[in-house]
Amino acid sequence: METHSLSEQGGYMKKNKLIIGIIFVSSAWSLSVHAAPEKKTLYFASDCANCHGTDGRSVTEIMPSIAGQDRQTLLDSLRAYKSKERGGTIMPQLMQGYNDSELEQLATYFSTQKK
Amino acid sequence: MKHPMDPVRRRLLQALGVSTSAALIPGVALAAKKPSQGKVVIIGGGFGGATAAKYLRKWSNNGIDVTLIERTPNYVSCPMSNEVLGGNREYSTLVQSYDALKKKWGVNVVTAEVVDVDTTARIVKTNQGKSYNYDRLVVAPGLDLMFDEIKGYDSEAQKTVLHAWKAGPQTLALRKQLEEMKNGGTYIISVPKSPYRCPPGPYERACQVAYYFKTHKPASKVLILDANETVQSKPKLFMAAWKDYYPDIVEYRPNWGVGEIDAQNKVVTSELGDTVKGDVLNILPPMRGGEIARKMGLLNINKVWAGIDWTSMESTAIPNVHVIGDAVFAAPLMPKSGHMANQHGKAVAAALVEIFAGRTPEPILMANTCYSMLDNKHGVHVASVHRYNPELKAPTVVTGSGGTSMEANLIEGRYTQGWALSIWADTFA
Repeated sequence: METHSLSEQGGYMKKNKLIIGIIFVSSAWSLSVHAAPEKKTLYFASDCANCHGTDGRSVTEIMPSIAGQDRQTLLDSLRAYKSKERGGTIMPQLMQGYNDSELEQLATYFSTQKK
Repeated sequence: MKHPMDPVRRRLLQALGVSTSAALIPGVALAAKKPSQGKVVIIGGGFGGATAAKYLRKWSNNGIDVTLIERTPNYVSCPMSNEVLGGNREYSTLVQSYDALKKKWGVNVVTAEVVDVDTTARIVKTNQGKSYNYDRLVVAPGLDLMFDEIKGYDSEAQKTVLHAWKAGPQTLALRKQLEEMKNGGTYIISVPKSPYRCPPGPYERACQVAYYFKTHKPASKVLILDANETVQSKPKLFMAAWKDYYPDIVEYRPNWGVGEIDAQNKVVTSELGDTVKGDVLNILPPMRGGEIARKMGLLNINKVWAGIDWTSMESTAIPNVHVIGDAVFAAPLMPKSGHMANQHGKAVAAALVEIFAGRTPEPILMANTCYSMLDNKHGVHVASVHRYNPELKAPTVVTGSGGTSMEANLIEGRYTQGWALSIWADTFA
């Protein structure tokens, strides 16, 4: 495997290319996640539809729509329910069943759905 | 410049008989219909079957052909039907149409009765003389009631002693019996040994009927005869409601299994020989998976429930046949509920999308919520999250997840109404 010291000019160039590559790949990854969530996420995110509507678009004012909400706001809410900092009736109980990675996947999925 | 054609696109076009040169003309290939990714026939259009149909179409981008065969032209929702008995809901609101599954999702909805399934040739035949081929069959048969388990509960007795455990004409007939009952009469509801459909259902029904009596016939009684040793769901909450809301109306008797009924004299006899007399008898016999599942040989657990592989919902009795909903031999602490059947529908849809794509399906996380109405505005819930446990080869409740309401409350009375609107739409619209 080829290695370069950062003190070498060529090393800097390679590192720059690497950084650009990482930025490109990560934005492409991020786009792909936003455009088409992994099937696995799609499947378990449908758990939420029973109350919040298919794809998170609620059909009733009684249940909040979660489609198209800000990702960080959604994630903060889900985490606060899980830590029980945020009160509620059923959400704090249900959130105990999901791991941190799943909460992130849910926030990403619903934030990218059409309102 | 010549672009090599994507192999998938080439296969699609070849399947359609379109020449590759024609395919290079923009729009030609796109305008043609995509070949099917697979053919699924679903028997039964309740919460499980209808959800499976919708999500198979949705998750395959309409690539999987789905035929849903259901006996009735509309579905009448069991959840919320107890409110009709309490006078708190119009029956018409329970009725769900299959129009959206047909028009919006492109499901071939067939109103017919299945008379035969050839699981070797993979053909389903209906009473209309039509046949439907499948690659995979989903059986969502609901439940049947074992009247034979209770002496005297014959076809004649069934004309006056109702179960109303499948919402529909019996829901209205039982409401009529309650309306016609004199003030001061006794309504008896019996609860079979678990497992049965909708664990909180009988207790919610007792509350709804008690609410009707309290507001219209206050001298009347509700007597609950439970074959189990205690209330099977939300016990503290239901017992508190009976004590606080209906102290002179509801009486609960545990360990009271019905052995015999005398429909003419409206007398119920326990397995131990105790007798009680009522004015309206609402007797729930023990339950098993629906008749079509029995006929097909899918009920391989004590001849009562269907065994499945939880990674795909595929029957352990017959390959390429998947069973969902109440008929399934339930995983530990997994209730037979409409909510759960909806989740089973999604689980089988996910599994089949994966199978048709040549991948191995993985079990999906499932959640349950059962709301109950204690009167006209107070609600309570029980909830759980179920994750596949590879050692047990079945989903188990995630430790620390779920639970019940702390107490009856108005907010959850509203949520109950919202939940119903949401799950009906998620399943049928």
